Amino acid sequence: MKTVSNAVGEFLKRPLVSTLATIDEDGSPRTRAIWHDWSEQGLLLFTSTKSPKWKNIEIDNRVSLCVDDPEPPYKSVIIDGHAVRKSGEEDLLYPIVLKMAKKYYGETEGRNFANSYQNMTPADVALFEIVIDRITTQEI
Amino acid sequence: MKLHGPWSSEEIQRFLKETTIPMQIAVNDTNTNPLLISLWFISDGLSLWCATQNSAKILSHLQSHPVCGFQISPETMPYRGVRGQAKVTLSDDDGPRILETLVDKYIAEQESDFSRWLLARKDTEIAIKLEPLKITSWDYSARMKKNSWE
Repeated sequence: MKTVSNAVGEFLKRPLVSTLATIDEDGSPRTRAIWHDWSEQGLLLFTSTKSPKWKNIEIDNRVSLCVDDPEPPYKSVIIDGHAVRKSGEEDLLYPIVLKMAKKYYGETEGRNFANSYQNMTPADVALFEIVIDRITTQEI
Repeated sequence: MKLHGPWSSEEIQRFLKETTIPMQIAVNDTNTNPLLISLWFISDGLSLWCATQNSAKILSHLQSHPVCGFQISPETMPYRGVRGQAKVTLSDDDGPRILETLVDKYIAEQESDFSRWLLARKDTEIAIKLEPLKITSWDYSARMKKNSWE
């Protein structure tokens, strides 16, 4: 796995909604907006196991993730890699969802949002990591 | 072309016209890996135009597989935006014109060093036209209004 520099790590911690590209059944790329979390546990994301993006990943786990600041000078990080389910996801899911929800929504609304995930299981929601093959940065 | 989500064709066109953030485009690289890039765009109805230098790798990827995914979604809450898949055509003839329009849209200060630098390269700019095959809109305004974001 590629090493992530401190500057890239700090950028990934900002509450910027990322875009995930997966591969559709016919081979064409598909995009979805998604939250992400960067920490010593890696680059983590979650999604419903019924979502088209997860169904794509189950068939072909190659993904690309773009995190970009829409304001000049348009800093961005693009990560290409493979999506794999996070080991220990059953215990990690709620704390990670709560952390992400607080990051994106703030303390109160974040807790409200994450509450609905307290009783979710890996059958409902996939917590997954992007194992990084390549990092491309702009203005960072 | 298939439309999904809450917005009508007119609402999508208005969103595309008013939005001044980059668009994310997902292409297949030479090994069929998905590859995302961020580009400025302008809209013409439901069609989207971008431009890039003729040396950019994305152009050869799009020549090999002229279908892309795209997404335009502001960071501001409530979350909303459009995404979809599009058929792509490349045009050298339209490159300079599209670049000028992009610079006009995205750079407030037309006489800046940055816009001069961009426009000095306009003859080697290639236009990328996206004709959507399907577009999905999403708008969480109602859902997020119940909370405290607005």
